[in-house]
Amino acid sequence: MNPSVLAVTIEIGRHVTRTIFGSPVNIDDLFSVVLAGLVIVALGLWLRVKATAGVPGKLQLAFEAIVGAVENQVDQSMGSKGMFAVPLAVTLFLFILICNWFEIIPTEVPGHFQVLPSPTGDINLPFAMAATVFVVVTFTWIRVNGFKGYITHFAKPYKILTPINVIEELVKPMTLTLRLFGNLFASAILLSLIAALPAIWVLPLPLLTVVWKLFAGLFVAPVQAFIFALLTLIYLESAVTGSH
Amino acid sequence: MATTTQQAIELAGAMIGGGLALGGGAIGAAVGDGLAGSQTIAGIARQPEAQGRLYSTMFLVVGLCEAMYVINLAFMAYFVFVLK
Repeated sequence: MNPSVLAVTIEIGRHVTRTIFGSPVNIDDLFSVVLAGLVIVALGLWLRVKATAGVPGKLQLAFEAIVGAVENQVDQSMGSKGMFAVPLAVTLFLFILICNWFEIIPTEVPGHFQVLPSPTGDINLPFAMAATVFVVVTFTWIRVNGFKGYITHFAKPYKILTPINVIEELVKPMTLTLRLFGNLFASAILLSLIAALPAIWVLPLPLLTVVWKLFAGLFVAPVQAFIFALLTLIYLESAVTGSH
Repeated sequence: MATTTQQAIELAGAMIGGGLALGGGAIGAAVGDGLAGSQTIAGIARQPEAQGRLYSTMFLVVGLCEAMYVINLAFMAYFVFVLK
């Protein structure tokens, strides 16, 4: 980035890499992912200790709200044979939400090295999740409709639309990836830009970073997690019902 | 090794391409969000008790429209920082 406008030079897309089994791995994202997973597992175990059939506590209310909303959505679209999708959707939503929330925590060492970056701001994690969803959806198609049914569904509304349907099927993981990655990546860059503006030009500088963090944390993070989980459910619905 | 003039032309082209991608994406995303918002307002005006359902659908559509802009942003970053 141009250093004459900003107070410091911003590097984007730089990660700490180590080589595991011969291929480079972004270690800082790996730490964040493991930490996010540990947070969710700890919440789940704590909920299991605290769960009661009487008056529910706040954690139980929150979990019941999320799982209830997902179960309602699955019930409306797929009926009872879609219940296998509920753990997948809830896991995706919670995991992506907590990964997105890492962006708000300031863990940057002033040598331009962030200890806990947001792992969804790296292209690898969204692509891994989108590839997993693609594999699950394809296997559900084949399991419910048979291999022949999966191949012929591309020609379904009109035969002439077959190439468009094939391209649409192949593009779905790409748009899932790019939507999630791009939103979080752009949020991170904008945060660095706002923080790097010279304070003499833009006086209420900490206020701007707080406003941006509020917007990113309260709006972008939940909406992107919700969209990823909801699109997974929609793709699985078209797989289970066999229609387009 | 490319000459300085050639590098300058490539960088200028990358910047202009990135600017066009961002401009077009911003217009499209804003128009899409505005349409979603206007239909939500019309729906709430017609039936105030449907507010919760309309809100969640509106956020879904807003997220999808913003995704187009963000994909453009990713291409802008690719043009400016990789293809320069």
